[in-house]
Amino acid sequence: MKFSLPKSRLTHYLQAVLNVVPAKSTLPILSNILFEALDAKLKISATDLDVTITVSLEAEVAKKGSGVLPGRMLFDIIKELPETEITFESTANRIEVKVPNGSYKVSAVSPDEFPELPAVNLKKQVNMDAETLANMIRRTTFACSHDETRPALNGVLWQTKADRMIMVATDGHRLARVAAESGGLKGVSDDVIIPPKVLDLMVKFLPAGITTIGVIFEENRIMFNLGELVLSSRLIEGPYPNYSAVIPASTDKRMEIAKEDLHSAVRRVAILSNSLTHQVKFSVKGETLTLSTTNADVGGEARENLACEYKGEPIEIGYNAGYVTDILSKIEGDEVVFELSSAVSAGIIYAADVPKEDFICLLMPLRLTE
Amino acid sequence: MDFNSLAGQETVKRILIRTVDRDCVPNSFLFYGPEGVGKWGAALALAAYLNCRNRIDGDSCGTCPPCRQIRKLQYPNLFTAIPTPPSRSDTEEIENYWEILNRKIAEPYALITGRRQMTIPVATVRQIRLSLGQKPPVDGLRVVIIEQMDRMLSGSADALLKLVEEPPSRTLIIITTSRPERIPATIVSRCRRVRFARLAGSAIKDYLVEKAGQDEKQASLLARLCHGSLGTALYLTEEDNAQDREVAKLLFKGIFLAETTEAAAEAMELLPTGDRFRLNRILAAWQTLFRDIMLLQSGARESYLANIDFVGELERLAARPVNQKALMKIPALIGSVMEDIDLNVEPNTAVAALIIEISRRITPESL
Repeated sequence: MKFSLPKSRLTHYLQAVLNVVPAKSTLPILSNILFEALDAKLKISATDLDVTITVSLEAEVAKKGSGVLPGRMLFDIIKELPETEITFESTANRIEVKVPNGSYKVSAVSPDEFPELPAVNLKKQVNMDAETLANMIRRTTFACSHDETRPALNGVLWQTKADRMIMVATDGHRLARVAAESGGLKGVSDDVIIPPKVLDLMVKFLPAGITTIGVIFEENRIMFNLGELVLSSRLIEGPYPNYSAVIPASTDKRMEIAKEDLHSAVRRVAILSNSLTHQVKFSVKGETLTLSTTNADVGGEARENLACEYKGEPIEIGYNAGYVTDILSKIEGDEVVFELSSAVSAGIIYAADVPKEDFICLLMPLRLTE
Repeated sequence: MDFNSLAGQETVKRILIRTVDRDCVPNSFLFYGPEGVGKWGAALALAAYLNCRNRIDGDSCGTCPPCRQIRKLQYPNLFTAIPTPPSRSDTEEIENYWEILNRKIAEPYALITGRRQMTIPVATVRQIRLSLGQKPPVDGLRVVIIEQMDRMLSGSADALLKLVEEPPSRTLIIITTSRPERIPATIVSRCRRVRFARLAGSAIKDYLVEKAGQDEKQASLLARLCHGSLGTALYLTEEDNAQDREVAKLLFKGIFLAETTEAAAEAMELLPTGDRFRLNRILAAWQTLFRDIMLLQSGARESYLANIDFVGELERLAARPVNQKALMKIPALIGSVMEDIDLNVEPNTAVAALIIEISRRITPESL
């Protein structure tokens, strides 16, 4: 294997693939990066077994071949080099990184030991609107669970219903559901549960100005083709719980309030909330929402009044401040609506100027403690 | 690791191969039997056989990517949990984990040894459960090997029970243990049990000569001493451990000849009471020495003895008058103390009490 490419390009892509190289892993091979020199093309891949990143870039390939090198060590060397052309050449069980002033020899691992990477089957690729997909991901991944006892909740459910595609995430305390036109997805895929890590990386690596991205559904994995970069992830095994059963069909209380005012007020009062529960009490009466918190550990109390439009009986309900701010940060628009039933049942939160069908969040209350 | 490279255990190999060939692999296996007889190796051989792409003559090929990766424990669909000493950080835990696994990669029969109490951390089981939440591979089976599950803390066992109760699809869980009685009945009842027998002396001797570089004479002695456990035989090939056996012989002689208090005091000086594993190996050596004394007293031929390099001294000791009935109970008594030490009983107290009890039973005054 022998290839050359400019330092700046290599650094950029190495940094990208390092996103999946685990800092500590029970499989040492995963701390390495696979280089494959093909016809005038270089492929760089890394995997943590869950997510795989492969970048394909143009390079001057003098001799085809492949090699596996320790990812972070290589990146540390490359990033310290001045801007120059770097040549990689494999010799026996080492790879030599040649620069104008010298060379670095690094022990290489046999490419056979690197986990097999999934093949990209372009025939199965569905092109989707990049911005729509990215927006759906931004609004859902935050609500995923991290509980290993309920694996299905550790991912985002992506389903197609008629002409709509829906993404749902929940950890049992909150739920986010976002829907959009399904575009080319209709009839292509069954419901899938996708780990949030690959979705967040997809949004992170989305090239500026790109309008469509390719999505490939395999039996047990999903791939996102972003052009030079392909992301792949194993899917999570279902079934996903029947989330629609927990979304209240009707509510008798409705509060509409300025989103930014509420967001900043919750952040402020949360400073004096219980450090364990982060409970903020919402008391709504007339046209006023009162937020209050108490923290017995520091002997503190906080209270703020906000003007709102409210229809229904007065109510006092407790929420985890962190969950409220998470949801408010995902909702667009100036006004936000809370639909409530009682102090012990789930409430629905959505933007006033966006149809409920497009994006709603559900939040379970905390039992109020004095 | 393939079935062919396993020493002995022909019945087990036949059962496992037939289970796969007939496509009736259960959700979970319990491999039980003495330590160092090939449970770990058989688990790896089964994992390789299940995932091999070119099975040859009822065994895995050893050359396809899954076979090679399983041999080096780098196969993405192989998950292992193994007892490790307590760690202060995640990094240290991974280092300890790999130190032990590297020993097992180099020598699958190697015993898991360590000065401190070894346990399977609950975080390891949780991580495995998290990984198994994903969809299984299209080809082959995911294999989870829980080595020495009896070393698992109750929190880990609870986490594992959930996994065994509701096994993910296309996943085989293999639990190994040398103490099945310490495994919760709720887990045992959900596993297909496979018993591993002690290995024949000839199989151990052949392995020691062919794969561990021992000469015939030494291999023959170790095969007698290890009580059917190749892992123990390999353990005794290491110089420090062989030295421990010398300590065992010396103390054994002391217990037989010296006054009780002197023997106990001497033992406290020489015994590695800070290292439970080594201490139990010395006590296991005492068991074989007592067994040999009983054999000599009952007129057995020299060829039946384990400690054939100590025959002269054993014959002199066997000639002393002792309470035969009491003597017969001593190996079991030592065994129960070994169990206690393994379960974290204070070693100094346990050994001192054992020596006093042995001396009391075998001294002529108690006749």
